[in-house]
Amino acid sequence: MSRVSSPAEDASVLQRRFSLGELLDLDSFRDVCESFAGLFQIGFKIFDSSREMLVDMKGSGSEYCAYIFSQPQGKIQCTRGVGIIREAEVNVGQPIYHDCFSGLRYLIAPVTHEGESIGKIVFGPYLPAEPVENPLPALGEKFKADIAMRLRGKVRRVQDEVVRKVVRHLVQMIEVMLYVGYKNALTSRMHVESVTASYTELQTKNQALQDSYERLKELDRLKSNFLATVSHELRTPLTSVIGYSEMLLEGLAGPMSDEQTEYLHTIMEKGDQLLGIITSILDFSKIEMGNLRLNRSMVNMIEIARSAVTTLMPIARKAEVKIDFAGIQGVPSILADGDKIRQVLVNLIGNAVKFNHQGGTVTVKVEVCTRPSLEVQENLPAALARPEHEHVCISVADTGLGIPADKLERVFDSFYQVDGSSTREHGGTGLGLAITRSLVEAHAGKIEVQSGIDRGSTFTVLLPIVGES
Amino acid sequence: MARILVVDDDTDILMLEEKVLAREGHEVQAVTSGESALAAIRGKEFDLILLDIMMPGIDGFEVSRLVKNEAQGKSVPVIFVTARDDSESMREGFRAGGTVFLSKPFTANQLVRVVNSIVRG
Amino acid sequence: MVQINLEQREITIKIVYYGPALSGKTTNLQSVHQILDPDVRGRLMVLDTSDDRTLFFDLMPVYFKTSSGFTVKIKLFTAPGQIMHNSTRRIVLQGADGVVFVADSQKSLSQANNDSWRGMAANLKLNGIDVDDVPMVIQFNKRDLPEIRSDSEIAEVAEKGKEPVFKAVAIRGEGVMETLDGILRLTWRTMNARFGLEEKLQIQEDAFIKHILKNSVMLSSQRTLQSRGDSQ
Repeated sequence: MSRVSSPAEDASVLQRRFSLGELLDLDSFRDVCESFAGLFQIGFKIFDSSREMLVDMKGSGSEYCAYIFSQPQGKIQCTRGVGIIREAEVNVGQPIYHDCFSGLRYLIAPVTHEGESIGKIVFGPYLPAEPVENPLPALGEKFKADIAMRLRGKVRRVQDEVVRKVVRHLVQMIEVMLYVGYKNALTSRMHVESVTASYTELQTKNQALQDSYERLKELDRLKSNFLATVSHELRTPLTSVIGYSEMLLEGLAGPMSDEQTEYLHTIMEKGDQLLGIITSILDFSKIEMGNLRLNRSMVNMIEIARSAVTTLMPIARKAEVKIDFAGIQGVPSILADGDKIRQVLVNLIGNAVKFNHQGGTVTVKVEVCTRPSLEVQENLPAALARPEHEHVCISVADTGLGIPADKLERVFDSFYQVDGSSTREHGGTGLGLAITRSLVEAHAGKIEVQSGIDRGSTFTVLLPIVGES
Repeated sequence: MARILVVDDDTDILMLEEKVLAREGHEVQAVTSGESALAAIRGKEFDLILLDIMMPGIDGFEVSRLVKNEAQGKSVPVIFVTARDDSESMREGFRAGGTVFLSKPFTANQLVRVVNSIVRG
Repeated sequence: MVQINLEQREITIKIVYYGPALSGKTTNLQSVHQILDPDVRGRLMVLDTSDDRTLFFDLMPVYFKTSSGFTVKIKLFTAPGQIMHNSTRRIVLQGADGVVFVADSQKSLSQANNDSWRGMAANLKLNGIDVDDVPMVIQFNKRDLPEIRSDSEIAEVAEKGKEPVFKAVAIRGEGVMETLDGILRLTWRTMNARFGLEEKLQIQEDAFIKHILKNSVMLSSQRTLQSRGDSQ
């Protein structure tokens, strides 16, 4: 079969040709054929386009034909006749009659699908109504005329016109069954093809996602590496700056004049400031990247707070601000990263001192207080959720300028300064509160702020009371 | 009064550490590479090693590992003095036998405090 | 890909109706089915869901035999418009010899039209076909609805583009046969140029069309196609 263009191996069922046998449910089809044959008492055969016989129904002519076939001469002629029928080409709309040497007749009609022949039906044998004269074939002396006549008498006698009508009905019925079969075949195969195509698409997308994920992980790793390297590169020269300034101050290179001492203090101060900024930025980057790891142990917040206050005493004294500290009885130790909380408190107390009046006060209080539960009440009925919990509350209150109400929520934003000044003016990075909040939240805690213009601000750190698990 | 080996490829920082520790009365030997550190340890006994990590050639971790392998070095405490502050470095440091991590930049007081806590503790 | 079997003397051509959901592709085929002479067409197979949305595709075979004994079969398919059926659309588009893009005339659906077109180009590409190479006509359907792109607007864009443009109200059968005539002619010309169909089948374009459209409703005009010229 020569083709100018042939469908690809994986072409869809839509391009495929079906054979008659594929489109019919042969079992149920044969049942129908049997009842049809029984109705008309005439047999028929159905062939597909490759001349394969799919259906063979016996009718009233079978006994006569068998008798003829039993004769050697009859067998030869019969076989030849069957061959002719099998090879017969019928075109759409043009059924043909075939007369057998036995005196019986067949009608051969095409079965069509989508306008072309997909098989044929050979209806018969039947006894034609005309001609009236119909001699028996001469098949030798063993062929007894009386037996033959009797058997032939059993064959249904029909007019050609009637046969044509019957066959037309039969073909119509077959073609409807073909259509249904075709529709089913297409539907089910399309279904499979569609699902397969969708699945393949999903696989491809999954792979792309996986690749993307791997790339992102790699990028993360590079960023992490970058952070570590930057940290290192920035801190190493600072070591010398701070270290040598210190050595000079301690007189290791000889006595210093007052002026020299003053300058050195400035250098050291700025060196410290630089270090603070670097640490803040790196901390913040780590938090943003989710890289921060807490070093938890059982710590007492009163001690941590006291230590933070101690650190800031010198600065407070210089700013002529008083720090009051109160650690209330009964504060339990909790599981937390002491260093990080200390950092938080140093930041808050430092701010409280910085943004205070001369002669003002900073009050630091550590106690147990009750607040609405900080934890997420997932999968719990409202009735069971505990509305209030005990927390460790550390409050830092100042008597400074206060923060206007509309700016209150934004104080925790990174790089935000309430008065819109550049972060350098107050010696901060603008990151302090952002980091502070992240650190507190990393402990599953919360930070609150209350403020009034000219009445000062109170920052409160709430930490859940968690013991060792 | 302890015998301290100080290792750092940055000569400024090396001089810093040497001067501060000498002022405290310790006997200090300073070298600028991992290789020289190993040679020094093989030649003399030390009570403490201050190791920088990021050095060309053999890095601080490797020095520590090798030192801990040798009979003379096994019991000598190692302080990693480094600007690296990531947890991965710390883990590797402790695996390599380090006792303490001192973060750069440090003040003279911090350095003295840490050293004293080890040699006197 | 047109299937030509010289030995069996038959040729099968595939035309696909494509476009956004509910633009009227199935309606086009339903109208064609009603209008064509029953001798030249088979059953209209509609594979749809219970609420009349095309699930896989619609299929209608159109066929005739030339005097030289060649069987010509044209299979008209519609591709489902709903977004989730993209795999099916791609499968239906496999081997398409000609495409009718059925666009919704409503202004609010311009984006849907464009998305569908882009999706079609992508699907064609996946099937190894360049959207510029395949015979294509565009039908603006639902001309009877309010808030549609105006006739003058359509005429203007039609001039600029290379695809022949047709207007239709498929549900009333208007414009449907003109569109079919358009795509058949365009497809014939392309394939003739590629495969020498005239020579092989021994018929010319007009005869090809007449075989199919005989005894059906007369075409209102073939103006649109002829104005495109024979530059294809």
